[in-house]
Amino acid sequence: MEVRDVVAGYGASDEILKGVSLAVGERELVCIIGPNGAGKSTLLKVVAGLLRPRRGTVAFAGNVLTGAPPRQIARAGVAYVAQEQNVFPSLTVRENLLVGSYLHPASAEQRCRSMMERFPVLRERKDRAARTLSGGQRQTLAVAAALMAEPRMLVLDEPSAGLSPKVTEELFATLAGIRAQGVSILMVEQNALAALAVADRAYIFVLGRNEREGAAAAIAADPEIRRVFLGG
Amino acid sequence: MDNYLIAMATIACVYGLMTVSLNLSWGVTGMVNLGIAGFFGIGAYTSALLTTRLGWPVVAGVASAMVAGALVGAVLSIATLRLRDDYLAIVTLGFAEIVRLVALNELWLTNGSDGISGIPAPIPRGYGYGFSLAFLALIAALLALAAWSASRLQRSPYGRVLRAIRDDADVTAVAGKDVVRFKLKTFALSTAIAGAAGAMYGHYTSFVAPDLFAPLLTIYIFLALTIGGTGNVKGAVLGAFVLIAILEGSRYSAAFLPELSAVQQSAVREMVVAALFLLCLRFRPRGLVPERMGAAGE
Amino acid sequence: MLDVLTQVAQLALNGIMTGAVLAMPAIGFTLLYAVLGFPNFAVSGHLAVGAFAGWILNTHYGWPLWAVVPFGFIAAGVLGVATQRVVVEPLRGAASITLAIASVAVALLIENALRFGFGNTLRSYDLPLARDVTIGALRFGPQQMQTAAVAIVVMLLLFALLRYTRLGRAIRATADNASLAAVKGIDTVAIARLVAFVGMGLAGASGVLLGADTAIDPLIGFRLVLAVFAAAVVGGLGSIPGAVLGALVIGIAEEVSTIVLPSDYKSAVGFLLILLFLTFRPRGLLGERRN
Repeated sequence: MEVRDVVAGYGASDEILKGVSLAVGERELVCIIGPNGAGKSTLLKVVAGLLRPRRGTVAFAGNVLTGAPPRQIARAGVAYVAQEQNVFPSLTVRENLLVGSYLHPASAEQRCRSMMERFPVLRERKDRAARTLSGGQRQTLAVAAALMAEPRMLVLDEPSAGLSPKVTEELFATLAGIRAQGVSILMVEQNALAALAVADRAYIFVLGRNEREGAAAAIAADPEIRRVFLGG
Repeated sequence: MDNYLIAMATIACVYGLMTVSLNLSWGVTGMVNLGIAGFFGIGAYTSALLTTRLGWPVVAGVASAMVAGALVGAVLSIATLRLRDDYLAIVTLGFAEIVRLVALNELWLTNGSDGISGIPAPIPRGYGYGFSLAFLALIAALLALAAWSASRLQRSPYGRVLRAIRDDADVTAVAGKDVVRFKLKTFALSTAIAGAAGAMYGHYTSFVAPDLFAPLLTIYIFLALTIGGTGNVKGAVLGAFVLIAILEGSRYSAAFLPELSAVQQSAVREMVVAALFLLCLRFRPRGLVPERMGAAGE
Repeated sequence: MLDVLTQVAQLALNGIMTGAVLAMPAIGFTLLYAVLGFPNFAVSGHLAVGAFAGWILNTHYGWPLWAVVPFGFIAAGVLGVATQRVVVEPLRGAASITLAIASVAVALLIENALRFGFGNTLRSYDLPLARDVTIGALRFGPQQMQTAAVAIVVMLLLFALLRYTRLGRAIRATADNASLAAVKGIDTVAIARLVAFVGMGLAGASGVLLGADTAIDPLIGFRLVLAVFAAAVVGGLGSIPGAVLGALVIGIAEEVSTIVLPSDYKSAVGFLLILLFLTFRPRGLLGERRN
């Protein structure tokens, strides 16, 4: 995944992203951190095809996907998990998983079974409507449904938002496991220290621009960054 | 001025009252009144019945028509105020049908489809040309009064808040009691104005019947408002005059299609109106007089 | 006493038959609402188109009712896709209420096109007359029973489509959250068109059934539309089982109301129920609480 000089915003006049670039290599777990209003979530929406950038390019595995509809981006192998409203509330857990592999109907049932083996919380609730799940269960379902698409890359917007520290820890362990199986991951995370602990590399955005980038461990260790961005 | 032009200007003012009413509810608070024809009917029948059966003076009839319009409007909006605006649309659309049903079936009261005739006017009809001019002056004054009070309401602090949030049903849903009460009052005022329009129409033509307020009338008013521009009073009034010009123009052009039956001619007219409305929505959604943005802190 | 009971039972039975026919456009209306996000008042016009399309095939070409129903479905469905593409899609991004008003204009356009072509006269289908069947003290009209049976079959098919197929899941997913559905690779524009086809098709098929039961004119849908909204609102706007239940409630309430009200006021019953439900239970009988 290669993002170059993306400029984007919602209204006619506002520019939230003023030109950001990043790259995610194969099997890499990359994390974006930065203060509120830095444009982190906006960039993920551009990557997922939900927001058309005004300038700049997005390319994945050699294909230019700038401004492509979400459907085409999904087809290219990118699975996006929004921060909120990331499951279908009136569909059951099982149906959510099946819709997750909408583009791969042939293997859907079989993947659904293996996904439930991997996440027993989902198996125990497979016929319940997703709206009845707790926050952590819902987040697990959202990630599992994204994995149902057999993605080459997972794009996550604040996966730990609203979760308890224990559940967050489990979730990050799951993500590390997913990455180990060959899926690259790009995520935005408020919980920066925990995210940097599992990430390979990290970018810091400030006010819609790249501020810093580097190896996750180096960023986590930099005293100035710790002071300004990591609250300690 | 030509008698015909005076008559058309008078009708345009009646429609103008309804566009001002619709603008007040839809343009300002986002509450959509798909039953404006029903309120027009309520007003028309209230005043017609009171003045013909009970011999009330016209002024009292029109005032009662406004009260009736306001009361019914308040009742309908109470049921839906805290819900999505779609529900008010369904309720008002259904309401207009019920009004028509009652007008058609309660023969003892409304004379059914024959309607009520011999409705008195505030000025003796015998004055002829003088009557026409005086009535036009009267209704124009009423329209000016309605437009003035509507724009005052629109510029009040609440009006500005409502305009800022009108497209966001969620915000409205969590808004405080005061805002809900203000919306209720605004809607009741708007339906009172529609009632006045109906009453004045009856006193002008001396006749009201159920087919006067078929759903088509509601579409006419929406068309007028869309042409003029939602959200501002000037556009609403202008839209009503443009609408009358279109309707009259289509009446003349129908004469160029003499091989069509009367039913077919009216079908063509209604189709033209519906198509025009859709074209306006698509190509000129902000109307001839666009609402000034920014004033409401957009 | 027994007479009154029999009368009520007969009216309830009639109400169930009415409700079964009403359920089809009510499902269409509620399905369109769930997926497209606005109350589509054009169901009335599409219902009339189905009724007339079926009438032409039946009276001019002698097709029997069972063959005419699918045709009414297709005619109204194709028109529904056309209005979706020409009117609704270009207005994307407009407030739902704007789309609702636009749909009233669409209904007006369609109904007047029919009026232009066929005039205001009442027309009836050309169907073999059949005598009522009597079981105990209750009378069953064979035509009504056939109509109710067709309605039930159509509803079961639709239910199976939505519940058990990949396409049905995609439709329900789009109704829940269209942008999430798009992220999953679902072509939401195509789904919206499909729903316009099915929803308006249901209205068209019910137009044929109604026409076979009574008589048709361009306003056949318009006269029914209040009952359709009432069924959808009473059941819970957006809920398909709700629309079926709501239709039965409205059908029975309308028939039973004739004991105390003149039958001209049947459609007022639906309106009263709308007001009652919106005041005391706005999510309807089976609707979901929306956060």
